Amino acid sequence: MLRPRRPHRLWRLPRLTKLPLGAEIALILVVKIALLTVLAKTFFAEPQARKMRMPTAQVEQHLLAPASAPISAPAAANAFNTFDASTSTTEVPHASH
Amino acid sequence: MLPIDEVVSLSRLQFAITALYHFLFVPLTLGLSWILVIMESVYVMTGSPIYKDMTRFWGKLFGINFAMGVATGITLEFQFGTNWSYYSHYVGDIFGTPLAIEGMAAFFLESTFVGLFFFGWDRLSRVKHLMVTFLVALGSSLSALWILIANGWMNNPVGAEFNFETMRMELVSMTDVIFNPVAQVKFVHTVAAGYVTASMFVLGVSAYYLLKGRDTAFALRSFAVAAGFGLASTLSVIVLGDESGYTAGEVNKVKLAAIEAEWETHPAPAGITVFGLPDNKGERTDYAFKVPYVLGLIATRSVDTPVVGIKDLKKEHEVRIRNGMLAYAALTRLKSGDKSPEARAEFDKLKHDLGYGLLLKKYTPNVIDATPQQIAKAVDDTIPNVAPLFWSFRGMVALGMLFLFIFSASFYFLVRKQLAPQRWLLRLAVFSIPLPWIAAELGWIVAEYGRQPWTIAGILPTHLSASTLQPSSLYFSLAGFILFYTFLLVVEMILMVKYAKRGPSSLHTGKYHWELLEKEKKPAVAAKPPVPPQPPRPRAPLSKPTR
Repeated sequence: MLRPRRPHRLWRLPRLTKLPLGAEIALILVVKIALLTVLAKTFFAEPQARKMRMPTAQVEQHLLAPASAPISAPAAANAFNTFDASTSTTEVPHASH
Repeated sequence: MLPIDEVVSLSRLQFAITALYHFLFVPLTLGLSWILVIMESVYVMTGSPIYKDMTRFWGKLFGINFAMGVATGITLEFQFGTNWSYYSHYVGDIFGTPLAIEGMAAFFLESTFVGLFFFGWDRLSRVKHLMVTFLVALGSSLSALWILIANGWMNNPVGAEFNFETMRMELVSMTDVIFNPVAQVKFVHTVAAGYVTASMFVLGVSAYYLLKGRDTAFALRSFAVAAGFGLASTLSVIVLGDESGYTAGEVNKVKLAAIEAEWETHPAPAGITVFGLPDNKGERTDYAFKVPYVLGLIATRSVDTPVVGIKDLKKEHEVRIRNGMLAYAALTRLKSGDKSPEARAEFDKLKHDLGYGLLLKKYTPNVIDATPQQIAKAVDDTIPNVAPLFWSFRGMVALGMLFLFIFSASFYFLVRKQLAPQRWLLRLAVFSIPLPWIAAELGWIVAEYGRQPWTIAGILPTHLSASTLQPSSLYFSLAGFILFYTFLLVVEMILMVKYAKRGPSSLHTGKYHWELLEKEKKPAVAAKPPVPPQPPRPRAPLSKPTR
């Protein structure tokens, strides 16, 4: 007589615990909250933007640096109207970092 | 100096990985909650206990997914303040509102009623329990609505104005933000995709029971609900996807042109490229196979409006970058103290192109002095990499068509009462269970990668949105996230497979396959005649007998 085949070991699911599903989920939720807390405390405890706000001066520095003398719009317009394709420029690193 | 590209790339990778992992849990919650409403409604209307068992069993799988998925999105909010601080400051006034509403209203509504759903079966009347299930489904959809309003605003920033005093975008009209056409289309397309995911899940698991020939009455009814709901949802996804294409054609031309690898502006109505090999450097698509007129009709709903190609869009962007340089100069003037009416008027006139000027910050510290070469580089940056978008979109559409076929065939054979012999279809349904997740992830890649180089389209470039961080901390937190989410995913898979295999027997009603099998075995064991006591065997002598 043929004996029923047992599934291959790889296909048998590991047993998480012997607890009922509700208790198992509660346990997993506790582990999850613990892991989330560890992640938050380790890597995200000091957000640069608290309550989605940063010091305005810091944002100005980031977006508008380097601070320079007031520049008028026409001056800027002149700067790029003098188009010269042969001008070679090197890429400059990001100033604000 | 910090390696800014590395910081931005790592921050993007971290956000993308956490969002994609998060969205493995979301669509099943979105769709399964409505499937539970359908099943329980039938139970309330007919009083048939099998529908109660169906609601409780699929509700159990919903509960596992909800428990694993809940709070996986909170890590994205950690990242806003820490990794994307400039973004958070710049748009927090608008972006924070829908996120807060989502957290305070929708999430708590959903979570509270999930508890009542599980513990209220014996405490609430049938109709009251159905209302609880309905509120769970409503809560999960409202949750998605507020998140997608926030995401829609990132793609089409309406109802807000830039305030140079605070250096941030400020809310002008909440109505515009809520009724943003991009957000609305995104919402219906995304939730419908969630319905398809859940339908395929129920269809596939039910098909597995049918293939195994167990709990067939339960499986057939579940299969029928999934086939009907899945067919309606797939048709909705396709129609709403088409609407999404039309909206993209109106407000996000670059994304549309990149998805379709439309390098040139062709005479209207444009044809759609079904297949081809996009070449970003050469700005062409090799071996393109086109179907005439289709793209023009989808994207413009007309036969005489052209779909603007990437090369022409780049020309438009160059003009906007040059205007952005002027806006930047005007802003610098204002910030240096000249707040005269003329300076304000000058900035107000140009501020809509300020974001384009900020694209130059990647190449020069002083935008006003940008060289033509730097401008050309910034122009190139305005177009996302075409090939990943082209293929992700086609993958998503192809999978959508496969789902349409599976649900249509399932519905057809079910109505004709010829499902049982179609074992190929049942097998196809089982193997297709993971495919809607792949389609949904591809959809998100199209949506988010297609918005590059912006975090807020046309307003704030991605490279200026990231915080000033050390790459090492990003590497460690990225590793932490991958381990955390992989743990959750593995646990989810183990529990889901375990309970799906056990089927409705896990309800312990004594009516289903495994419990009936155990019952059959037990009497058989009891009926066995008791083994008569064996007479003691004569003991072997301890010593050899003497001859």
